[in-house]
Amino acid sequence: MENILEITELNKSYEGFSLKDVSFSLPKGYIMGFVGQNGSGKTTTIRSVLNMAKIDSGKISVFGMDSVTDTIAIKERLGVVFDSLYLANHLNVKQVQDQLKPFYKDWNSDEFLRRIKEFDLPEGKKIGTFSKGMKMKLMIAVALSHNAELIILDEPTSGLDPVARDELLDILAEYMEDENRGVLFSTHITADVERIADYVTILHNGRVWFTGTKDDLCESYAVIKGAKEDIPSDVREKCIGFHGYRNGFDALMKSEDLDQVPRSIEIEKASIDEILVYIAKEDKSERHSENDTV
Amino acid sequence: MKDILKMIRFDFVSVRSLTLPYVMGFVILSFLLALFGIPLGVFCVAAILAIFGPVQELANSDTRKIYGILPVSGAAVTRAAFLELILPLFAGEMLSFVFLFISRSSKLYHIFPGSIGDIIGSLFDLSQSDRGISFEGLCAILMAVSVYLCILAAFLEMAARIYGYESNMRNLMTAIFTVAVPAVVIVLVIKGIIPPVWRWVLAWSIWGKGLLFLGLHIIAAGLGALFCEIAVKKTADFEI
Repeated sequence: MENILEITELNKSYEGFSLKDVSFSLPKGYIMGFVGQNGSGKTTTIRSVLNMAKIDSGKISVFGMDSVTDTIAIKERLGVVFDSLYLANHLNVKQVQDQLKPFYKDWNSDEFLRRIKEFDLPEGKKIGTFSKGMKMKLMIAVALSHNAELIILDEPTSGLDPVARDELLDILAEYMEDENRGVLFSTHITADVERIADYVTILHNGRVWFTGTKDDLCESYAVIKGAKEDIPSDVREKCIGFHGYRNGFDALMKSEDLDQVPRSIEIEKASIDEILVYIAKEDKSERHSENDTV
Repeated sequence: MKDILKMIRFDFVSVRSLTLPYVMGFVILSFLLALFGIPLGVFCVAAILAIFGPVQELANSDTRKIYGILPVSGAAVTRAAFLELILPLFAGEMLSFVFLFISRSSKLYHIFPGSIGDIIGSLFDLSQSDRGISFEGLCAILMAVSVYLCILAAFLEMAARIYGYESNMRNLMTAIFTVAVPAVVIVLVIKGIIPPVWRWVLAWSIWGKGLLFLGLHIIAAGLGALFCEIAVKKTADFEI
């Protein structure tokens, strides 16, 4: 399978935060959900792909080209949707086209206007007055009008109402009917990922916690629940984000370790949301135990 | 060069609806007043510069992200920003010269009845010999201001790109060059150092003045280009 995006051992440090050896790849024809808590490094990774952040080490390859040396050629074929509009608020849709058209060899004005109509965006109104959903659609219309082969979305659905979110996901699903394209979709709303993504990369504290197909992720982990006294201590050590309460416990566990779990303990399929929550809990308890040691 | 022109067009589309109607209005008003001998057009040098004024504000907001999305190099973005300062400044200067010339040649204020025409004539008519400053003197001041503004604008743009638009360093430089340097010039005028030089230059032949005009503009444009390239080099590794 040919990769449309490949990140290898990406390192990038800021004061108080760093991306550490981030590696993952997105094959052509698929959507990748890029998830993690706020501050986990999703936006920094995306900014690195766009060469907006200067990487310390590692390699990012988009369409087989280097993200630093070939950044202009890459951006010709790339569509980007940020959580906020990157265009001047006082412009209208036609002026936006006027501005952007000269930059893209493949810009198709008819396609742009068709998308604007399809998305019900008013042509004469200032884009600053658009709702958040309309702004998202405008950015997607821009991406589709220059025939972008890869669309990168950074938290596009945060702040959107459920109807607008649903519309956005439908647009992406339609976009992916061409198997030569790809979508990297950063979000902390995991329901969107569950619905649309083929691949998932989970970023936690600047590191890749999981990368692979969504099915692999869901098959690799399960949630276990039961009475605290039923879980042997060696099994408990393998739990991720163990959460004990008065009547019992719950935790995340790797599927490969489930055969050691006593029958009295309930095993449930883990959702991406639950996985993220248990990763955060594990992190918290590790920090607590480190503090205890100190 | 193509990328720079694309960026200038991009910025122009961004700001034209905000500034162009006002600037055009000022230019038309300057032209009409010039016909009546009133040289308001001398300020076109600053008015035209305002066309791209809001670009800086837009570049500091959320819309700054666009520079990381567009298929264009950071160097082209920086060079375009410098040209957006220097080209309108020189275009505005030319327009000011044209309006100055019209206001000296046109005597339409005579159509006003009685004393109104006389008052306008006595206040503004540059061809009247008892005027405190001659037409040539006004042209020379205009050229000097324009050249100084070009160097100043380019220098402050360089400082803004390297240190940030809101940085203390840039504010300090702005204060020095917009207040201290003109203050020194005023002191030199009062001390009688500049006037003899000024009179000597005004006595040159038309070819001499032409060469001086060309030379000063080449120096200003050259310094603008130098500041621009320093900004390009220093900001090459900056993040967006």
